[in-house]
Amino acid sequence: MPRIPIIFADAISAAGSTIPQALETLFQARQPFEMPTHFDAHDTPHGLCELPPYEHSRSFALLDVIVGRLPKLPEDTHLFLASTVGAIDLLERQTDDEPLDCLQILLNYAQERTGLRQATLVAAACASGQNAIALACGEIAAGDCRNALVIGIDITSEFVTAGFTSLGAVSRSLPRPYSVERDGLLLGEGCGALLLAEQAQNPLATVIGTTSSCDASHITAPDLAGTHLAKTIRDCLAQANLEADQLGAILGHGTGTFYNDQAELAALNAVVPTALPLFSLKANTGHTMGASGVLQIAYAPQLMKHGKLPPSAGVITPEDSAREFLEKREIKSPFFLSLNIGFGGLNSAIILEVAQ
Amino acid sequence: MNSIPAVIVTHTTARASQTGWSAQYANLSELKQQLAAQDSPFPKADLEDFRRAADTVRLAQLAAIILAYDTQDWNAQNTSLVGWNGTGCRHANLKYWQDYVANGKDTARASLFVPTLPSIPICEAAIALDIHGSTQFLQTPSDTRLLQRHLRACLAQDPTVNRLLVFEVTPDWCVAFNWTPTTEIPSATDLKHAFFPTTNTR
Repeated sequence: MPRIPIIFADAISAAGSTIPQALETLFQARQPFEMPTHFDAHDTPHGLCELPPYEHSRSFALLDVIVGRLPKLPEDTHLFLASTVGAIDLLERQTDDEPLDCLQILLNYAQERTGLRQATLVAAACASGQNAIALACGEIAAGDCRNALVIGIDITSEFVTAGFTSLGAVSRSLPRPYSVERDGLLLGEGCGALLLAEQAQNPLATVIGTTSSCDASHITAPDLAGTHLAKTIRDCLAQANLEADQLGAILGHGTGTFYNDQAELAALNAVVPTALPLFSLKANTGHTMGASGVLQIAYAPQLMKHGKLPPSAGVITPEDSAREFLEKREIKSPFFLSLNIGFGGLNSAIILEVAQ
Repeated sequence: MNSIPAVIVTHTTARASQTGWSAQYANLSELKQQLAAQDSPFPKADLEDFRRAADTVRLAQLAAIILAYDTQDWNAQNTSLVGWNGTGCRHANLKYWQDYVANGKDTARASLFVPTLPSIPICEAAIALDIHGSTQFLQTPSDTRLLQRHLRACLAQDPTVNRLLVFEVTPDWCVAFNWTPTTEIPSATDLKHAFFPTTNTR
């Protein structure tokens, strides 16, 4: 795959309304979770964004923040929207039995707000964000589009909280990715935007590898041996023409559930010969589902500027298989590996070369 | 006969384009039994949770098995799956939410939450046939030319893939076809009209 430059990145999450604000939260190891007032969260704190008052869907308000800060987009820009539930709060409020297409509603709104003529929704559970970036890179590589705007977005909602709670995936305390004491995830909301171009002179970062796979073993649990995630990482390294020890940092999926972290650590230990700096945003932002992959990529260039990864919030006792990864924080090369894992056994890896 | 391996599965009929295979049955469980019978030429599949699955999942799983049979040089290696349009997850979303509202937090069924992701039917198809390539759902305007363009991009992003199984799923029917870089999808608003325009899906 050709190298695809990223020329603009922006994000809003519970960690901060802008990327610099979020980085401050990350480096202070703060976990800013709070109780939502826009739905009954049954005493479960969430990672919430600061939003202005809104009338319709919360997803519209979240999207408006990011769209309002976009640069002028070239007319031929193709929109790739990643989301798992879209404007799901509209379904929560509906009174009739007509099934609302909440993903299409959000896609239509995003298209209207950005003024872009071509728009595609990419849904691959919690790997949607990275899959959307990969598809956008593929379109550019295939010569079918010159500029791509990738937006990853998901909101907090009773719909999703109730679902994850019923699956036993929600923490009773705080998310503690890669920690022995981890007992689940906390949900968050966020929106990230990336502008990818066919060519650019001084990009923030360059996508040099995108691969994905399916465990094909269980619909909600990952393969604990991490076999296919490991293969996905190896394939991505091969695409980027790198050896594992040339990576500078790993932005893990790290939800803080037993299964996710176990699979991810198994895969990383199988591929990486000596530990590399590893960090999961979800301890600070909550699990932002379809937005998480875009947030990871959007934050990477600023992390590179700091020269090290933030401390891992929430960790009490690192898993043995994570200890060395979490102890290392200094970023020694510009190559970032970013991972997403999703229901259905979906795995995604992206390698970025970040501007120094 | 269409030169692209393609299948349609409804609740009472199924048809494959290359082999000309077709079947009539009373319900999807009966079709599953036909496909899994001892002397069946269809590839063996993992359908452990079939009885409890949503219609969209069952249609996608059965379509995947018949499509594998309809594809001459079938091999699960280097294969990816793409779901496109159809009805997405909107029926599953409403069903889950109404169950949650009716039964509350403690007794709502977690099993109804999982299918609220539109990628679930194709992930279940991947599990059925042990396919490990990338798997995702795309929603675009109703035009197979846009789908064709995205399929090219899927290959461009991962050169190890040489075959895509593409699905359009609704609660009433599923059409799936086998796409390779030389495939030209007939121009239509959906896959049923592209491959099986005369099939009655009511």
